[in-house]
Amino acid sequence: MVLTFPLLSEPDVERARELLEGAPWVDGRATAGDQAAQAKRNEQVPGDAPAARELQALVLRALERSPRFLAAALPKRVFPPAFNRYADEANHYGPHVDGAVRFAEGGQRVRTDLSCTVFLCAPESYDGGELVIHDGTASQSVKLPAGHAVLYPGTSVHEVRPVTRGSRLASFFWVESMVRGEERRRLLLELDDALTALRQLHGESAETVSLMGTYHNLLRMWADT
Amino acid sequence: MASNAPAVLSAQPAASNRTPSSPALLPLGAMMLAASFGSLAQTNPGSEGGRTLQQVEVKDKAEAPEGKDSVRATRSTIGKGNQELRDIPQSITVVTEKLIDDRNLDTVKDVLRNTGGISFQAAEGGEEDIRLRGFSLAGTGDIFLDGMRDPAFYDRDTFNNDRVELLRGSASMLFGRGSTGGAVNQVSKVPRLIDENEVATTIGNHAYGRITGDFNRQVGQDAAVRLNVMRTKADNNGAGSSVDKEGVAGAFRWGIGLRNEFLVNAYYLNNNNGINYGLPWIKPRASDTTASNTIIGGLKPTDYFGMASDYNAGLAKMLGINHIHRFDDGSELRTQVRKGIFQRDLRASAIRFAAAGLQPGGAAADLATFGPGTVFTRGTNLKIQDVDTLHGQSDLSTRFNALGYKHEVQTGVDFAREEKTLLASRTAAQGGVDLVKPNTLAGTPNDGATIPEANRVLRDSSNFVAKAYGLYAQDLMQVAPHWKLLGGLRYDNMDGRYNQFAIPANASGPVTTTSFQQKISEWSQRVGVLYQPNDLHSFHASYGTSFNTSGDTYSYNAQSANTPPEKSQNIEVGAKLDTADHRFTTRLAIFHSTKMNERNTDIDTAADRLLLSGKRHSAGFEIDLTGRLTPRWEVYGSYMWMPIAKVDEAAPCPAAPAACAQGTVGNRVGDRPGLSPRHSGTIWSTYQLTGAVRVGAGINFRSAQAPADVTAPAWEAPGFATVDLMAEYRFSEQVTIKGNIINAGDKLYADSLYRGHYVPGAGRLVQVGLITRF
Repeated sequence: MVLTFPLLSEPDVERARELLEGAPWVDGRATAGDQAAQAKRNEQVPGDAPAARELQALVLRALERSPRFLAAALPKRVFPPAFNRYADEANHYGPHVDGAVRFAEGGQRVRTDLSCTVFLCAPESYDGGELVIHDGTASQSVKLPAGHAVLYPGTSVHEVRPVTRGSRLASFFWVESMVRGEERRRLLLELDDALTALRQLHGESAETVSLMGTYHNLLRMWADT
Repeated sequence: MASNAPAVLSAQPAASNRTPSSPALLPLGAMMLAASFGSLAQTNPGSEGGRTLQQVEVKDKAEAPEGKDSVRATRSTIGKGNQELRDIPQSITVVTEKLIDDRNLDTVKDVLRNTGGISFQAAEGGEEDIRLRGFSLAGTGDIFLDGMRDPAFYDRDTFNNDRVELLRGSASMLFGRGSTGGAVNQVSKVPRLIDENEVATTIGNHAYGRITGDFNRQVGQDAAVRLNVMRTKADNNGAGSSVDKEGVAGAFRWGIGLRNEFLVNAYYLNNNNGINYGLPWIKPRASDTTASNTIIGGLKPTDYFGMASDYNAGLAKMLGINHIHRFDDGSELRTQVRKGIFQRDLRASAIRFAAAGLQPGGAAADLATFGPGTVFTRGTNLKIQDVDTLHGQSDLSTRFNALGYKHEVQTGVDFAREEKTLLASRTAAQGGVDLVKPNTLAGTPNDGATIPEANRVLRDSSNFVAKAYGLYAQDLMQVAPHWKLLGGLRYDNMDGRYNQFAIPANASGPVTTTSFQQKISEWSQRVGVLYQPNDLHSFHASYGTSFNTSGDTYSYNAQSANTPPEKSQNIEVGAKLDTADHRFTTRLAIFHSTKMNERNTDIDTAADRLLLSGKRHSAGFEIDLTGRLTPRWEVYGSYMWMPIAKVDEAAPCPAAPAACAQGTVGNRVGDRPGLSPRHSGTIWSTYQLTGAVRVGAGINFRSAQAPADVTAPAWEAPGFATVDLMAEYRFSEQVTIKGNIINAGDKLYADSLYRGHYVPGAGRLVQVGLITRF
């Protein structure tokens, strides 16, 4: 399931771009394995740069305030957001699957159930740079307005198409969900959505309370906290 | 949904109740989890470094960046294999497709005009005789296509070029026999794993029309085709020659990024252009010496005095196959074979002033008397030749650790068979025709006069066959954390055979054949040291040697056939400096090139070989600027300052200098050789005013320079600067309109020089193009 939603406000996006403008950029291959380095052509801000710290906090705050993100991802842990740039020669990232487990500083492990990309540039300011998510035989090409995010399964093969004009700035990170299976998360989100809509249409009723119980019981059955 | 035609998922604005600003009713998951999930950033600031699990790569799609993306390049294939520019300890200028497109550079000659240190000789064949650092490039076959020699004389078009690379300094280590100045490498467009098409239609003054199409299609998981087409027509190229040409280049690449990758390509270019062979130098006053010779300022750049029946037809056909094998350890074996068939049929008029008696008032033409009534004669110059080439090479790039050091080794073999056949026309006495070209007047350019060129009767004049092979190896060794050492050695072997066919002056036969042969066996070397204190800076010092044989010009005589190669060496100290954001690169170098033993004609007519006694050197400074100063401001600049260019030794001359070839200017001790301007270069800059509007401007300049081999006193063609302008409006991602004004001031200048004449550069060209991408 590929889900898009607005995440960052306009001032947040502006602040992010301002910080990234002055950030120290390094070759993205520095953090990729030997094999991935062959397909990876982008630039990243080192995670310990002051700009990266401030930006991580900014994105995480926005995530905590995003009902859509919380409902869909049911996050347990979020790997600290990173920031990348595609421009000039460092302009694409060939098809790949992300590593299953990421290690944060201090040895904390994050299983990458979900990947998230937050677009930070207006789509008309650059050519190319679509995030293409291959899901079995189908593919989806995503290029969103500045501040919008896309959430997709970490299990998918995905790639970033070459940026042929301008530059593409984005934040990306991984989420370990309380609910491991993508089918189960989808089911829970559908139930959640339908229930929210029902409650808005009809207010609370015995039925909505019962369905809410079903939601929580399913979550109790599947969640791993 | 097919995976190769992904649908675009647009941003779905979330329902209003879900936007962060108005959380009327929260989903259950959100309600439960708000501000409670564990992020690792606050307590354990994340760093991916070092401990990241290796990512699982589905397939290696590592593709080179395309030249159309930027004016800045960071990698090159000029050094054999594929290398970081910062690892090549020599000056390299890369002109990418972006710059080629921005400035509307239709030909490789136009491209080279946009690099520092280049000058052009107006050669007999009117071909691209390029000088770099004052040393000849084209004459010695130092033009390459995808790393393989492209020796034929034809008017190269840029429609299939991704970029053009210029390596300065001794190049024999990489390319075998070659010149002192450097080498030019044209890089072809290759199919990529993407569906992408571009059609550009440009119209301009002089009835200029050019359409190019670049179609790339992914046809499989790891296969793609690319087709480039071109058609260009113009009454006048801005310097008097009509243009009428078409080209098609197709390529199929499969196994892209896999263990075995293949590419087959075919290329076809057909030129039916006109030819402006040039105009004679003129003295200001009859009493002046040749030291005052200059260009005819009263004419327009577009004035053409040749025959309407003159032409410059050229045909180039090439077929190539490439294979890359990738080994498990990252080593790569690249093999390429290319067959080329080229024809050139040039019928030109050398323009000279008619004798004094034919001029108005019976006075020899000079600037004081020059007027519409001044009479020009039109000589006949023909260059009709076929060139047939077969080239193959196999290059291995590998890296390994040995003896405690990291090594990057490039090694390979190459072979070549090059055959050139020259045709001549018979005079009436020899069974052909004598075509008389009528004189013309300065006041009647483009007079439309014709002669029946088709009536000429041709015969074989000479042929040349060269078979050559070479072996080389070079090692770039990391000897300390920031230091790399480069050492390389190459062996070349060439066997050249030349037959000259002569017939009597007044009969169609018999044919007398004179044959010459030469075998060359020669070593070249290159050593260098690189200091790379960090990712941004790379400093180098290098020493290289090269040699060029007298057979490089595809002809021999009794003397040149047994004269050993000329040798040269290049010493260079330079740097490559990136800005912290890697968007802007400055390359600079100080160089010293020496030709150790230049060929000279022996004054002793009894001698059976040329003297190799000449010596000359040039030294100077080069700087290239490429990239973005800000995200909106892109700059390309290339400049060479060559204060020193001097002949150190010459063959001795007899008492009467007029009879001595070494007596011509540029060949005498202390002379500055011709075609060696002190300043030359270009600067080009574009600025993105808004998302849709981009404007650009540039200057090309060359300071005064003398033609080569003139009888003293020498003269210089005036220096010049021309201004180019560009504006682009982007309607959408798909449609862009672009306008160019080339030589906005309509400056008249001498672009290519010869002792007898000069060819003016193009006058003002106004061109508007519509570029569509889909």
